[in-house]
Amino acid sequence: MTAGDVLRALQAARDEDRVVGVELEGVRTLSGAAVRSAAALLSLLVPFAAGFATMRGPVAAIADALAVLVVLLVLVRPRTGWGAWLLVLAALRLLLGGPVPAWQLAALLLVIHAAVLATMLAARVEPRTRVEVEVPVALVRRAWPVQLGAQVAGVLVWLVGPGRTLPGAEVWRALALVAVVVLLLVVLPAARRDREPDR
Amino acid sequence: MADRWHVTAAATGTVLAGAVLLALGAFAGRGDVALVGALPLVVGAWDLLRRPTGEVRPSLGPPARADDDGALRAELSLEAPAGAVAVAVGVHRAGLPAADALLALPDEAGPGPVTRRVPLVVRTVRTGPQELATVEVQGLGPGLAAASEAGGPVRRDALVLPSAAPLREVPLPARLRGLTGAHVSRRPGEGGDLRDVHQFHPGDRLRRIDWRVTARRSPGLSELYVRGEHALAEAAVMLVVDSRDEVGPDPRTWAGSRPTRPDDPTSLDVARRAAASVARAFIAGGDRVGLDDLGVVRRPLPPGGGRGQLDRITHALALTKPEGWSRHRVRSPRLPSGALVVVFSTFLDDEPADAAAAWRRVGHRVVAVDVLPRLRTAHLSGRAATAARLVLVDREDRLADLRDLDVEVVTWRDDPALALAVLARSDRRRPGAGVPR
Repeated sequence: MTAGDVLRALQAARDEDRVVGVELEGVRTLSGAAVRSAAALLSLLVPFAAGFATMRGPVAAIADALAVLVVLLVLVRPRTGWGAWLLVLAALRLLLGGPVPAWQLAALLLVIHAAVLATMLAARVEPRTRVEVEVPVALVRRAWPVQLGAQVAGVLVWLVGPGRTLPGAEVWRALALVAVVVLLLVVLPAARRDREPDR
Repeated sequence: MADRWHVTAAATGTVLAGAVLLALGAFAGRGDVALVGALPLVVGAWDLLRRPTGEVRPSLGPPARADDDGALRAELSLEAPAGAVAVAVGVHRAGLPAADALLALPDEAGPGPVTRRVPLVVRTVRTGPQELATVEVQGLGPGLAAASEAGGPVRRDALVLPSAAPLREVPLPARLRGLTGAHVSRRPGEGGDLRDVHQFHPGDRLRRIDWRVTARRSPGLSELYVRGEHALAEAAVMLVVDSRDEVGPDPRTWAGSRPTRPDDPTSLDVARRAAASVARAFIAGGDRVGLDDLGVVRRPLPPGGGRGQLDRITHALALTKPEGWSRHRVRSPRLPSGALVVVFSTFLDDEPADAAAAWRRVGHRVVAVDVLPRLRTAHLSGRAATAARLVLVDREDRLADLRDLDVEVVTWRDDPALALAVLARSDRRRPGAGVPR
């Protein structure tokens, strides 16, 4: 049995539970597998942008392993939202490794935003799903003003500099805490209804 | 009031992680960490606050058959509430997934619903009444962070008429009828080839006088000679479809416990297409074609000619299907005398073979068309393979008996145009078969 026979047998087994000959005409599409791969690739860029490559020692090995695991989960099971753990890993790297240069923070914000959008898209598609090109294009079109705001905020954070305490810092912390609580109160009740199976 | 759309698991995770990191960054005095958390938190929360309310309604228009490639086209219409940015569409046929797509919705600023129309193309190998498609949808809100409840399912059925394959030549019955048509009969008449040259008799037309022969044989014009011609005639053909069984290429589906895949043509699909092809070939040649069904006891469609008759036959073929337990026929259906009988059957049991043999015995020329599709037996288990082999051996014996009775057998899964052309040529060498001796 040649490799071609094996591939044909695998293809036949894969198509056993599907019907061929049905398509939506006139729609420019990408394959769901390509979308998932792109999401995994962008997720892989998050640890790089956060500076994982500069870490040394056993902590670095654990962090690298966790990052690879999360990327694999994003590729295989994107619907469960594993991409959020990459944000946590990137933030921990910033906390442990100290402040990063302005260009690195800008790159990190860009990559995080792109990875969040890609994983949100990947979470809604199966490998066989045809994704209309206009869907990711519209996502990017609507996201760039937010990214612009984030980059401006990043410049401000860099200008303030690390370790400097702003006047009224306690007020800012309290406001952040209140904002977090309010947003969670908005999000969590709606999230409970997501237990019903998605299509 | 309808509920707002629910938040997806991915969005929930992203917002929660952002909230934790924002709080962590704020308390650690690290603006960069807080910013890394604030970005997904703000994006997710903004998307969720704008999530739509209401349901997504799919609808599937009536199908139309395209002339170029034979596919069926129907318009899929998606109506979603304002704020929806995309719709996940799942198309099924016979319970099996056929197509999945994530479609963008137009970016309309108004408060009204947004609508997207997409042509759905179904290339089916099946004919007759069938499910065109069943569509389910789910709307997605801004940033794909919220999803609606599943909408639908919406099902659309269609009656697919069998298409006719081109045939080169078709065999003729042993006896032709009438004085008009496209075939030359053996009777004297007009319009056919030269039959003889004989002396003028009362009743011969004056314009039939052959003056050259007369001048050669009777220079004194004491006798006149006229040219005799053969008459033209038409063939009567009865198509007999055996609709009692409908089997697919997979013998595991023959017992009925598992359905035939919608992309596998069944024996009845092959029979419909074969009968439509033969009907078109004969009617295009000016012959009269009728239709009968071995599976039901009802009045047959009598032989007729013309485009209207072809449409009637095609529509009747599309509606032909197995109807419960068929009643055993005591005798074969009576057919017009001298008609060519073309039987379309799988010959998996004796009844169609018995009918074909009976028609042959009373003098009809009978062509048995084997419409069993090409079988897939490689995946069968030992017992199933043995059972299938026994059934096929029995069938081969039945077809061999038919050949012994001078019933001509054509296998439609091979090259039917060639096989029918060979039959058409062979009857030219047989005296009295539609051509002069």
